[in-house]
Amino acid sequence: MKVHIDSRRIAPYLFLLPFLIFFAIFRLWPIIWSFLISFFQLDDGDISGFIGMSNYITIFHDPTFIKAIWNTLYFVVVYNVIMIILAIMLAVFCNSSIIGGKKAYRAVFFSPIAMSLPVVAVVFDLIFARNIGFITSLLGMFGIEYNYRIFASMTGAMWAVILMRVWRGSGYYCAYFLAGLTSIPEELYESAMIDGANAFQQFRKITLPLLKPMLIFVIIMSTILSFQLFDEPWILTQGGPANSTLTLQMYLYQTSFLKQDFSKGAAVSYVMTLLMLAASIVSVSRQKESSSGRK
Amino acid sequence: MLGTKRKRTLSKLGIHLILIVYAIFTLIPFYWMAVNSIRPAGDFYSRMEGLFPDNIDFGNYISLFSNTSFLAWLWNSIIICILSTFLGLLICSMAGFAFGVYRFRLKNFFFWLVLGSVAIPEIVTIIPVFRLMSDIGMIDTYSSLVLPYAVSMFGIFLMKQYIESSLPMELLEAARIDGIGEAGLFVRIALPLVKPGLGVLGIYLWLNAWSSYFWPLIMLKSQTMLTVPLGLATLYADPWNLQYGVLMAGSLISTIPIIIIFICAQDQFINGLTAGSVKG
Repeated sequence: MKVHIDSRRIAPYLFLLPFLIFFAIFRLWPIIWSFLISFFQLDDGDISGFIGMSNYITIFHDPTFIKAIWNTLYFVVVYNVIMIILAIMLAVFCNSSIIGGKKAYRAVFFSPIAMSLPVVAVVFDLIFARNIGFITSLLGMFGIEYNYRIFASMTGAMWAVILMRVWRGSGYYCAYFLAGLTSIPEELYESAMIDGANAFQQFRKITLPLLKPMLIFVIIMSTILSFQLFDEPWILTQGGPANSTLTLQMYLYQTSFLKQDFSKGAAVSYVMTLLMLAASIVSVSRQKESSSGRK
Repeated sequence: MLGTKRKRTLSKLGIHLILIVYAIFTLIPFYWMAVNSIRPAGDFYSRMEGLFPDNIDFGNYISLFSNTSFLAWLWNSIIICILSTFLGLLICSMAGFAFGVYRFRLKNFFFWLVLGSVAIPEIVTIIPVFRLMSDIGMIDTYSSLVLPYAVSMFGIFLMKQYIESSLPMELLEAARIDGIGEAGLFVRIALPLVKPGLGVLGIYLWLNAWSSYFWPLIMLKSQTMLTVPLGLATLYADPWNLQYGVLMAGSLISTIPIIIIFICAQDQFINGLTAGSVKG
Protein backbone atom coordinates (compact mmCIF):
# COMPACT_ATOMS: atom_id res chain seq x y z
CA MET A 1 0.00 0.00 0.00
CA LYS A 2 1.29 3.40 -0.94
CA VAL A 3 0.62 6.36 1.30
CA HIS A 4 0.03 9.39 -0.83
CA ILE A 5 1.05 12.65 0.76
CA ASP A 6 0.25 15.78 -1.11
CA SER A 7 3.50 17.64 -0.71
CA ARG A 8 1.96 20.88 -1.92
CA ARG A 9 -0.43 20.90 1.01
CA ILE A 10 2.06 20.32 3.79
CA ALA A 11 4.89 22.30 2.22
CA PRO A 12 3.71 25.74 3.46
CA TYR A 13 3.55 24.46 7.04
CA LEU A 14 7.05 23.05 6.78
CA PHE A 15 8.36 26.34 5.39
CA LEU A 16 6.67 28.18 8.24
CA LEU A 17 7.88 25.77 10.90
CA PRO A 18 11.18 27.47 11.85
CA PHE A 19 9.42 30.82 12.03
CA LEU A 20 6.61 29.40 14.17
CA ILE A 21 9.03 27.76 16.60
CA PHE A 22 11.04 30.94 17.09
CA PHE A 23 7.92 33.06 17.15
CA ALA A 24 6.34 30.91 19.84
CA ILE A 25 9.45 30.83 22.07
CA PHE A 26 10.71 34.39 21.67
CA ARG A 27 7.57 36.44 21.07
CA LEU A 28 4.22 34.84 21.71
CA TRP A 29 5.02 33.07 24.96
CA PRO A 30 7.04 36.03 26.38
CA ILE A 31 4.23 38.47 25.52
CA ILE A 32 1.70 36.36 27.41
CA TRP A 33 4.00 35.41 30.28
CA SER A 34 5.07 38.95 31.06
CA PHE A 35 1.45 40.10 30.94
CA LEU A 36 0.52 37.41 33.48
CA ILE A 37 3.41 37.95 35.88
CA SER A 38 2.68 41.66 35.99
CA PHE A 39 -0.25 40.65 38.25
CA PHE A 40 1.79 38.38 40.48
CA GLN A 41 4.33 38.71 43.23
CA LEU A 42 7.71 37.14 42.63
CA ASP A 43 9.94 35.84 45.41
CA ASP A 44 13.44 34.85 44.34
CA GLY A 45 12.15 34.49 40.84
CA ASP A 46 9.29 32.16 41.79
CA ILE A 47 5.69 33.17 41.34
CA SER A 48 4.24 33.34 44.83
CA GLY A 49 0.85 34.97 44.70
CA PHE A 50 -1.73 36.86 42.73
CA ILE A 51 -1.72 40.50 43.73
CA GLY A 52 -3.99 42.02 41.09
CA MET A 53 -3.14 45.55 40.03
CA SER A 54 -0.68 46.10 42.91
CA ASN A 55 2.41 46.29 40.71
CA TYR A 56 0.73 48.88 38.51
CA ILE A 57 -0.47 50.89 41.52
CA THR A 58 2.98 50.82 43.12
CA ILE A 59 4.79 52.10 40.04
CA PHE A 60 2.27 54.87 39.50
CA HIS A 61 2.87 56.00 43.08
CA ASP A 62 6.58 56.20 42.42
CA PRO A 63 7.46 59.83 41.52
CA THR A 64 10.54 58.57 39.66
CA PHE A 65 8.31 56.57 37.32
CA ILE A 66 6.08 59.59 36.67
CA LYS A 67 9.22 61.60 35.97
CA ALA A 68 10.36 58.91 33.53
CA ILE A 69 7.01 59.06 31.73
CA TRP A 70 7.25 62.84 31.36
CA ASN A 71 10.84 62.75 30.19
CA THR A 72 10.06 60.08 27.63
CA LEU A 73 6.97 61.86 26.31
CA TYR A 74 8.90 65.13 26.15
CA PHE A 75 11.64 63.46 24.17
CA VAL A 76 9.25 61.60 21.86
CA VAL A 77 7.23 64.71 21.01
CA VAL A 78 10.09 67.19 20.63
CA TYR A 79 12.37 64.81 18.76
CA ASN A 80 9.71 63.58 16.35
CA VAL A 81 8.37 67.03 15.53
CA ILE A 82 11.83 68.45 14.81
CA MET A 83 13.08 65.35 13.04
CA ILE A 84 10.03 64.88 10.80
CA ILE A 85 9.83 68.54 9.74
CA LEU A 86 13.54 68.49 8.95
CA ALA A 87 13.32 65.17 7.10
CA ILE A 88 10.42 66.37 4.94
CA MET A 89 12.20 69.63 4.18
CA LEU A 90 15.40 67.85 3.19
CA ALA A 91 13.45 65.39 1.04
CA VAL A 92 11.53 68.14 -0.74
CA PHE A 93 14.74 70.08 -1.42
CA CYS A 94 16.58 66.95 -2.60
CA ASN A 95 13.69 66.02 -4.87
CA SER A 96 13.42 69.48 -6.38
CA SER A 97 13.48 69.09 -10.14
CA ILE A 98 15.76 72.07 -10.65
CA ILE A 99 18.78 70.61 -8.85
CA GLY A 100 20.95 67.59 -9.51
CA GLY A 101 22.86 65.40 -7.10
CA LYS A 102 19.80 63.97 -5.34
CA LYS A 103 21.44 60.60 -4.77
CA ALA A 104 24.67 62.09 -3.48
CA TYR A 105 22.82 64.17 -0.89
CA ARG A 106 20.70 61.21 0.12
CA ALA A 107 23.83 59.09 0.58
CA VAL A 108 25.44 61.67 2.88
CA PHE A 109 22.27 62.27 4.91
CA PHE A 110 21.76 58.53 5.33
CA SER A 111 25.28 57.84 6.57
CA PRO A 112 24.77 58.54 10.32
CA ILE A 113 22.87 55.25 10.56
CA ALA A 114 26.27 53.60 10.15
CA MET A 115 27.21 54.75 13.68
CA SER A 116 25.75 52.63 16.43
CA LEU A 117 23.99 54.59 19.18
CA PRO A 118 26.72 54.04 21.80
CA VAL A 119 29.27 55.40 19.34
CA VAL A 120 27.01 58.37 18.61
CA ALA A 121 26.87 59.01 22.35
CA VAL A 122 30.62 59.06 22.93
CA VAL A 123 31.34 61.03 19.76
CA PHE A 124 28.82 63.72 20.68
CA ASP A 125 30.24 63.78 24.18
CA LEU A 126 33.52 64.76 22.56
CA ILE A 127 31.74 67.35 20.41
CA PHE A 128 30.14 69.04 23.42
CA ALA A 129 33.10 68.61 25.78
CA ARG A 130 34.63 71.75 27.26
CA ASN A 131 38.22 72.47 26.32
CA ILE A 132 38.72 69.49 24.01
CA GLY A 133 35.41 69.45 22.15
CA PHE A 134 34.45 70.47 18.64
CA ILE A 135 32.34 73.41 19.79
CA THR A 136 35.22 74.73 21.89
CA SER A 137 37.56 74.57 18.90
CA LEU A 138 35.04 76.04 16.49
CA LEU A 139 34.09 78.96 18.71
CA GLY A 140 37.75 79.34 19.69
CA MET A 141 38.53 80.29 16.11
CA PHE A 142 36.31 83.34 16.58
CA GLY A 143 37.75 84.05 20.01
CA ILE A 144 34.63 82.91 21.88
CA GLU A 145 35.02 80.99 25.12
CA TYR A 146 32.79 77.91 25.47
CA ASN A 147 32.31 76.67 28.99
CA TYR A 148 28.88 75.08 29.03
CA ARG A 149 28.75 71.67 30.67
CA ILE A 150 25.75 70.47 28.73
CA PHE A 151 25.45 67.05 30.36
CA ALA A 152 25.43 68.64 33.81
CA SER A 153 22.52 70.89 32.91
CA MET A 154 18.94 69.85 33.65
CA THR A 155 17.56 71.08 30.32
CA GLY A 156 20.77 70.89 28.31
CA ALA A 157 21.32 67.15 28.77
CA MET A 158 17.99 66.15 27.23
CA TRP A 159 18.44 68.63 24.39
CA ALA A 160 21.86 67.20 23.67
CA VAL A 161 20.25 63.76 23.37
CA ILE A 162 17.54 65.19 21.12
CA LEU A 163 20.18 66.76 18.90
CA MET A 164 22.03 63.44 18.57
CA ARG A 165 18.86 61.64 17.56
CA VAL A 166 17.87 64.36 15.11
CA TRP A 167 21.35 64.15 13.60
CA ARG A 168 20.99 60.39 13.16
CA GLY A 169 17.29 60.16 12.31
CA SER A 170 16.58 63.06 9.94
CA GLY A 171 18.58 61.67 7.05
CA TYR A 172 17.30 58.16 7.60
CA TYR A 173 13.65 59.20 7.41
CA CYS A 174 14.47 61.66 4.64
CA ALA A 175 15.17 58.57 2.52
CA TYR A 176 11.65 57.32 3.26
CA PHE A 177 10.07 60.66 2.35
CA LEU A 178 12.14 60.78 -0.83
CA ALA A 179 10.74 57.38 -1.80
CA GLY A 180 7.25 58.75 -1.15
CA LEU A 181 7.94 61.88 -3.19
CA THR A 182 9.21 60.01 -6.24
CA SER A 183 5.83 58.31 -6.56
CA ILE A 184 4.05 61.68 -6.98
CA PRO A 185 3.51 62.24 -10.72
CA GLU A 186 5.34 65.25 -12.13
CA GLU A 187 2.26 66.31 -14.18
CA LEU A 188 0.43 67.33 -11.00
CA TYR A 189 3.03 70.02 -10.35
CA GLU A 190 3.04 71.10 -13.97
CA SER A 191 -0.70 71.67 -14.05
CA ALA A 192 -0.56 73.41 -10.68
CA MET A 193 2.12 75.70 -12.06
CA ILE A 194 -0.11 76.53 -15.04
CA ASP A 195 -2.87 77.40 -12.57
CA GLY A 196 -0.40 79.78 -10.97
CA ALA A 197 0.23 77.97 -7.69
CA ASN A 198 3.46 79.02 -5.98
CA ALA A 199 5.95 76.62 -4.46
CA PHE A 200 4.41 76.78 -0.98
CA GLN A 201 0.87 76.20 -2.30
CA GLN A 202 2.12 73.26 -4.32
CA PHE A 203 3.70 71.83 -1.19
CA ARG A 204 0.51 72.20 0.85
CA LYS A 205 -1.98 71.10 -1.77
CA ILE A 206 -0.05 68.37 -3.59
CA THR A 207 3.07 67.20 -1.77
CA LEU A 208 1.78 66.96 1.78
CA PRO A 209 -1.53 65.17 1.07
CA LEU A 210 0.14 62.65 -1.24
CA LEU A 211 2.94 62.10 1.24
CA LYS A 212 0.45 61.24 3.96
CA PRO A 213 0.67 57.42 3.83
CA MET A 214 4.45 57.63 4.17
CA LEU A 215 4.12 60.26 6.88
CA ILE A 216 1.84 58.01 8.90
CA PHE A 217 4.22 55.10 8.47
CA VAL A 218 7.18 57.19 9.60
CA ILE A 219 5.28 58.59 12.59
CA ILE A 220 4.32 55.14 13.84
CA MET A 221 7.75 53.63 13.32
CA SER A 222 9.63 56.55 14.78
CA THR A 223 7.29 56.92 17.76
CA ILE A 224 7.73 53.28 18.71
CA LEU A 225 11.50 53.43 18.32
CA SER A 226 11.93 56.72 20.16
CA PHE A 227 9.84 55.54 23.11
CA GLN A 228 12.61 53.03 23.76
CA LEU A 229 15.25 55.74 24.20
CA PHE A 230 18.00 54.22 26.32
CA ASP A 231 21.51 53.91 24.89
CA GLU A 232 22.71 57.52 24.76
CA PRO A 233 21.35 58.83 28.09
CA TRP A 234 22.32 55.61 29.86
CA ILE A 235 25.91 55.81 28.64
CA LEU A 236 26.32 59.56 29.08
CA THR A 237 24.33 60.53 32.16
CA GLN A 238 22.79 57.36 33.63
CA GLY A 239 19.58 59.36 33.79
CA GLY A 240 21.02 62.41 35.53
CA PRO A 241 21.38 65.21 36.39
CA ALA A 242 18.58 64.86 38.94
CA ASN A 243 16.70 62.31 36.79
CA SER A 244 16.28 64.85 34.00
CA THR A 245 17.22 62.28 31.34
CA LEU A 246 15.68 59.25 33.04
CA THR A 247 13.61 57.41 30.43
CA LEU A 248 11.00 54.66 30.72
CA GLN A 249 13.33 52.06 29.28
CA MET A 250 15.94 53.03 31.88
CA TYR A 251 13.37 52.69 34.63
CA LEU A 252 12.46 49.29 33.18
CA TYR A 253 16.12 48.27 33.16
CA GLN A 254 16.70 49.44 36.73
CA THR A 255 13.57 47.76 38.10
CA SER A 256 14.02 44.48 36.27
CA PHE A 257 17.74 43.92 36.18
CA LEU A 258 19.33 46.06 38.87
CA LYS A 259 16.61 45.52 41.51
CA GLN A 260 15.67 42.12 40.08
CA ASP A 261 11.95 42.85 40.42
CA PHE A 262 10.67 41.07 37.33
CA SER A 263 6.95 41.35 37.94
CA LYS A 264 7.14 45.09 38.50
CA GLY A 265 9.37 45.31 35.43
CA ALA A 266 6.76 43.45 33.41
CA ALA A 267 4.14 45.95 34.58
CA VAL A 268 6.41 48.81 33.46
CA SER A 269 6.83 47.20 30.05
CA TYR A 270 3.08 46.94 29.59
CA VAL A 271 2.52 50.55 30.64
CA MET A 272 5.13 51.51 28.05
CA THR A 273 3.33 49.46 25.40
CA LEU A 274 0.01 51.15 26.13
CA LEU A 275 1.62 54.60 26.03
CA MET A 276 3.29 53.79 22.71
CA LEU A 277 0.08 52.57 21.15
CA ALA A 278 -1.83 55.57 22.50
CA ALA A 279 0.80 57.98 21.18
CA SER A 280 0.80 56.35 17.74
CA ILE A 281 -3.00 56.40 17.55
CA VAL A 282 -3.26 60.02 18.69
CA SER A 283 -0.64 61.29 16.26
CA VAL A 284 -2.00 59.29 13.33
CA SER A 285 -5.59 60.37 13.92
CA ARG A 286 -4.43 63.98 14.15
CA GLN A 287 -2.77 63.55 10.77
CA LYS A 288 -5.97 62.15 9.33
CA GLU A 289 -8.06 64.97 10.82
CA SER A 290 -5.80 67.67 9.47
CA SER A 291 -5.93 66.19 6.00
CA SER A 292 -9.70 65.86 5.92
CA GLY A 293 -10.05 69.36 7.37
CA ARG A 294 -8.08 70.82 4.52
CA LYS A 295 -10.30 69.36 1.83
CA MET B 1 9.25 89.76 -17.03
CA LEU B 2 12.25 90.23 -14.83
CA GLY B 3 14.21 87.08 -15.66
CA THR B 4 12.44 83.95 -14.48
CA LYS B 5 15.70 82.35 -15.47
CA ARG B 6 17.63 84.43 -12.98
CA LYS B 7 15.08 83.66 -10.29
CA ARG B 8 15.48 79.98 -11.08
CA THR B 9 19.25 80.11 -10.78
CA LEU B 10 18.94 81.90 -7.45
CA SER B 11 16.57 79.35 -5.95
CA LYS B 12 18.78 76.58 -7.31
CA LEU B 13 21.77 78.09 -5.51
CA GLY B 14 19.71 78.57 -2.37
CA ILE B 15 18.61 74.92 -2.27
CA HIS B 16 22.14 73.68 -2.85
CA LEU B 17 23.38 75.95 -0.10
CA ILE B 18 20.86 74.60 2.43
CA LEU B 19 21.59 71.00 1.49
CA ILE B 20 25.35 71.51 1.61
CA VAL B 21 25.15 73.13 5.04
CA TYR B 22 23.12 70.18 6.31
CA ALA B 23 25.53 67.74 4.69
CA ILE B 24 28.41 69.41 6.56
CA PHE B 25 26.43 69.17 9.80
CA THR B 26 25.93 65.48 9.06
CA LEU B 27 29.61 64.86 8.46
CA ILE B 28 31.03 66.78 11.45
CA PRO B 29 30.76 63.87 13.93
CA PHE B 30 32.52 61.55 11.47
CA TYR B 31 35.27 64.10 10.99
CA TRP B 32 35.66 64.76 14.69
CA MET B 33 35.81 61.05 15.45
CA ALA B 34 38.49 60.48 12.82
CA VAL B 35 40.59 63.51 13.79
CA ASN B 36 40.55 62.68 17.47
CA SER B 37 41.52 59.08 16.83
CA ILE B 38 44.83 60.25 15.34
CA ARG B 39 45.68 62.88 17.93
CA PRO B 40 48.61 61.89 20.13
CA ALA B 41 47.40 60.88 23.59
CA GLY B 42 49.79 63.39 25.16
CA ASP B 43 48.10 66.35 23.44
CA PHE B 44 44.71 65.39 24.64
CA TYR B 45 43.96 67.73 27.43
CA SER B 46 45.23 70.73 25.62
CA ARG B 47 42.82 72.54 23.38
CA MET B 48 43.01 72.02 19.64
CA GLU B 49 43.71 75.36 17.98
CA GLY B 50 41.46 75.42 14.96
CA LEU B 51 39.83 72.29 13.62
CA PHE B 52 42.97 70.42 12.58
CA PRO B 53 45.31 68.48 14.87
CA ASP B 54 48.88 69.78 15.29
CA ASN B 55 50.43 66.32 15.42
CA ILE B 56 49.30 63.06 13.93
CA ASP B 57 50.05 59.70 15.44
CA PHE B 58 48.51 56.27 15.34
CA GLY B 59 49.39 55.35 18.93
CA ASN B 60 45.71 55.24 19.88
CA TYR B 61 45.11 52.37 17.50
CA ILE B 62 48.08 50.48 18.90
CA SER B 63 46.93 50.89 22.47
CA LEU B 64 43.36 50.03 21.50
CA PHE B 65 44.52 46.61 20.36
CA SER B 66 47.18 46.03 23.00
CA ASN B 67 45.65 47.52 26.16
CA THR B 68 41.98 46.67 25.76
CA SER B 69 40.03 43.55 24.74
CA PHE B 70 38.94 45.25 21.53
CA LEU B 71 40.06 42.40 19.30
CA ALA B 72 37.92 39.94 21.26
CA TRP B 73 34.93 42.32 21.07
CA LEU B 74 35.38 42.69 17.34
CA TRP B 75 35.50 38.92 16.97
CA ASN B 76 32.34 38.50 19.09
CA SER B 77 30.48 41.14 17.11
CA ILE B 78 31.43 39.58 13.78
CA ILE B 79 30.43 36.06 14.84
CA ILE B 80 27.13 37.28 16.30
CA CYS B 81 26.37 39.29 13.16
CA ILE B 82 27.16 36.40 10.82
CA LEU B 83 25.05 33.96 12.82
CA SER B 84 22.06 36.25 13.26
CA THR B 85 22.11 37.44 9.66
CA PHE B 86 22.27 33.89 8.36
CA LEU B 87 19.58 32.55 10.68
CA GLY B 88 17.32 35.55 10.07
CA LEU B 89 17.65 35.25 6.29
CA LEU B 90 16.84 31.55 6.42
CA ILE B 91 13.76 31.90 8.63
CA CYS B 92 12.38 35.02 6.93
CA SER B 93 12.85 33.76 3.39
CA MET B 94 11.22 30.42 4.20
CA ALA B 95 8.27 32.11 5.87
CA GLY B 96 8.06 34.70 3.09
CA PHE B 97 8.00 31.88 0.55
CA ALA B 98 5.17 30.13 2.40
CA PHE B 99 3.11 33.33 2.61
CA GLY B 100 3.89 34.47 -0.90
CA VAL B 101 3.46 31.27 -2.88
CA TYR B 102 0.99 28.93 -1.21
CA ARG B 103 -2.67 29.03 -0.37
CA PHE B 104 -3.37 27.12 2.83
CA ARG B 105 -5.96 27.02 5.52
CA LEU B 106 -4.19 28.79 8.36
CA LYS B 107 -2.50 31.37 6.14
CA ASN B 108 -4.60 34.34 7.23
CA PHE B 109 -4.43 33.34 10.86
CA PHE B 110 -0.63 33.12 10.82
CA PHE B 111 -0.34 36.34 8.86
CA TRP B 112 -2.50 38.23 11.33
CA LEU B 113 -0.40 36.76 14.12
CA VAL B 114 2.66 38.35 12.53
CA LEU B 115 0.89 41.66 11.92
CA GLY B 116 -0.63 41.75 15.39
CA SER B 117 2.62 41.09 17.19
CA VAL B 118 4.21 44.07 15.47
CA ALA B 119 1.96 46.27 17.60
CA ILE B 120 3.54 44.88 20.76
CA PRO B 121 7.07 46.18 21.16
CA GLU B 122 10.11 44.09 21.90
CA ILE B 123 10.55 45.45 25.43
CA VAL B 124 7.67 43.30 26.66
CA THR B 125 9.65 40.18 25.82
CA ILE B 126 12.87 41.22 27.54
CA ILE B 127 12.15 39.79 30.98
CA PRO B 128 10.72 36.39 29.97
CA VAL B 129 13.48 35.83 27.42
CA PHE B 130 16.13 36.78 29.96
CA ARG B 131 14.62 34.33 32.47
CA LEU B 132 14.46 31.62 29.84
CA MET B 133 18.08 32.18 28.89
CA SER B 134 19.25 32.06 32.47
CA ASP B 135 17.16 28.95 33.20
CA ILE B 136 18.80 27.02 30.39
CA GLY B 137 22.24 28.42 31.20
CA MET B 138 22.65 30.45 28.04
CA ILE B 139 23.47 33.80 29.62
CA ASP B 140 26.81 35.12 28.41
CA THR B 141 26.78 33.05 25.22
CA TYR B 142 26.43 33.97 21.55
CA SER B 143 23.13 32.09 21.41
CA SER B 144 21.53 34.44 23.92
CA LEU B 145 21.95 37.26 21.39
CA VAL B 146 21.42 35.37 18.15
CA LEU B 147 18.31 33.30 18.89
CA PRO B 148 15.92 36.00 20.18
CA TYR B 149 16.74 38.18 17.17
CA ALA B 150 16.15 35.49 14.56
CA VAL B 151 12.52 36.33 13.89
CA SER B 152 12.07 39.67 12.19
CA MET B 153 8.52 40.63 11.27
CA PHE B 154 9.85 43.27 8.92
CA GLY B 155 11.97 40.59 7.26
CA ILE B 156 8.96 38.35 6.66
CA PHE B 157 6.98 41.20 5.06
CA LEU B 158 9.95 42.13 2.93
CA MET B 159 10.58 38.60 1.70
CA LYS B 160 6.90 37.97 1.06
CA GLN B 161 6.79 41.11 -1.07
CA TYR B 162 9.93 40.33 -3.03
CA ILE B 163 8.73 36.78 -3.71
CA GLU B 164 5.27 37.91 -4.80
CA SER B 165 6.64 40.56 -7.14
CA SER B 166 9.57 38.73 -8.71
CA LEU B 167 8.55 35.08 -8.81
CA PRO B 168 6.10 34.20 -11.62
CA MET B 169 3.69 31.44 -10.66
CA GLU B 170 3.98 29.92 -14.15
CA LEU B 171 7.67 29.36 -13.54
CA LEU B 172 6.88 27.37 -10.41
CA GLU B 173 4.25 25.33 -12.21
CA ALA B 174 6.64 24.56 -15.05
CA ALA B 175 9.30 23.47 -12.56
CA ARG B 176 6.80 21.24 -10.76
CA ILE B 177 5.97 19.53 -14.05
CA ASP B 178 9.70 18.95 -14.53
CA GLY B 179 9.59 17.03 -11.29
CA ILE B 180 11.25 19.51 -8.94
CA GLY B 181 10.05 19.11 -5.36
CA GLU B 182 8.77 21.91 -3.14
CA ALA B 183 12.12 22.29 -1.38
CA GLY B 184 13.82 22.44 -4.76
CA LEU B 185 11.47 25.21 -5.88
CA PHE B 186 12.53 27.27 -2.89
CA VAL B 187 16.27 26.67 -3.10
CA ARG B 188 16.78 26.53 -6.87
CA ILE B 189 14.13 28.91 -8.21
CA ALA B 190 12.87 31.31 -5.55
CA LEU B 191 16.12 32.13 -3.73
CA PRO B 192 18.16 33.04 -6.85
CA LEU B 193 15.33 35.28 -8.05
CA VAL B 194 15.00 37.22 -4.80
CA LYS B 195 18.74 37.80 -4.30
CA PRO B 196 18.28 41.61 -4.18
CA GLY B 197 15.70 41.17 -1.43
CA LEU B 198 18.04 38.87 0.48
CA GLY B 199 20.74 41.52 0.16
CA VAL B 200 18.51 44.25 1.59
CA LEU B 201 17.34 42.08 4.46
CA GLY B 202 20.88 40.85 5.08
CA ILE B 203 22.18 44.40 5.48
CA TYR B 204 19.22 45.25 7.70
CA LEU B 205 19.80 42.28 9.99
CA TRP B 206 23.54 42.87 10.10
CA LEU B 207 23.04 46.55 10.96
CA ASN B 208 20.68 45.66 13.79
CA ALA B 209 22.97 43.06 15.30
CA TRP B 210 26.07 45.22 14.83
CA SER B 211 24.70 48.28 16.62
CA SER B 212 22.57 46.63 19.27
CA TYR B 213 23.34 47.73 22.83
CA PHE B 214 20.44 47.02 25.18
CA TRP B 215 20.12 43.29 24.57
CA PRO B 216 23.87 42.56 24.94
CA LEU B 217 23.92 44.73 28.06
CA ILE B 218 21.43 42.36 29.67
CA MET B 219 22.74 39.08 28.30
CA LEU B 220 26.53 39.41 28.45
CA LYS B 221 28.52 39.39 31.66
CA SER B 222 32.20 38.65 31.12
CA GLN B 223 34.66 41.21 29.78
CA THR B 224 35.82 39.01 26.89
CA MET B 225 32.30 38.17 25.68
CA LEU B 226 31.28 41.80 25.05
CA THR B 227 30.32 43.12 21.65
CA VAL B 228 31.93 46.24 20.17
CA PRO B 229 29.25 48.81 21.21
CA LEU B 230 29.10 47.39 24.72
CA GLY B 231 32.88 47.23 24.98
CA LEU B 232 33.25 50.85 23.87
CA ALA B 233 30.64 51.89 26.42
CA THR B 234 32.60 50.16 29.19
CA LEU B 235 35.76 51.96 28.08
CA TYR B 236 33.85 55.22 28.33
CA ALA B 237 32.39 54.33 31.71
CA ASP B 238 35.82 53.96 33.29
CA PRO B 239 36.65 57.55 34.25
CA TRP B 240 40.14 56.78 35.63
CA ASN B 241 41.41 55.27 32.40
CA LEU B 242 39.25 57.12 29.92
CA GLN B 243 41.29 57.94 26.84
CA TYR B 244 39.22 59.68 24.24
CA GLY B 245 41.71 58.96 21.48
CA VAL B 246 41.53 55.20 22.06
CA LEU B 247 37.76 55.40 22.30
CA MET B 248 37.53 57.28 19.01
CA ALA B 249 39.84 54.77 17.33
CA GLY B 250 37.51 51.97 18.42
CA SER B 251 34.46 53.96 17.35
CA LEU B 252 35.96 54.55 13.93
CA ILE B 253 36.80 50.88 13.43
CA SER B 254 33.28 49.90 14.47
CA THR B 255 31.78 52.31 11.93
CA ILE B 256 33.94 51.39 8.94
CA PRO B 257 32.37 48.02 8.05
CA ILE B 258 28.94 49.62 7.75
CA ILE B 259 30.31 52.50 5.70
CA ILE B 260 31.90 49.98 3.34
CA ILE B 261 28.58 48.13 2.99
CA PHE B 262 26.85 51.46 2.30
CA ILE B 263 29.39 52.46 -0.34
CA CYS B 264 28.87 49.15 -2.14
CA ALA B 265 25.11 48.81 -1.90
CA GLN B 266 23.49 51.86 -0.36
CA ASP B 267 21.16 52.60 -3.26
CA GLN B 268 19.76 49.09 -3.38
CA PHE B 269 19.49 49.04 0.40
CA ILE B 270 17.55 52.31 0.66
CA ASN B 271 15.29 51.43 -2.25
CA GLY B 272 14.50 48.03 -0.81
CA LEU B 273 13.98 49.40 2.67
CA THR B 274 11.64 52.20 1.63
CA ALA B 275 9.76 50.44 -1.17
CA GLY B 276 8.09 47.97 1.15
CA SER B 277 7.22 50.45 3.88
CA VAL B 278 3.86 51.74 2.78
CA LYS B 279 2.60 48.74 0.88
CA GLY B 280 3.56 46.40 3.73
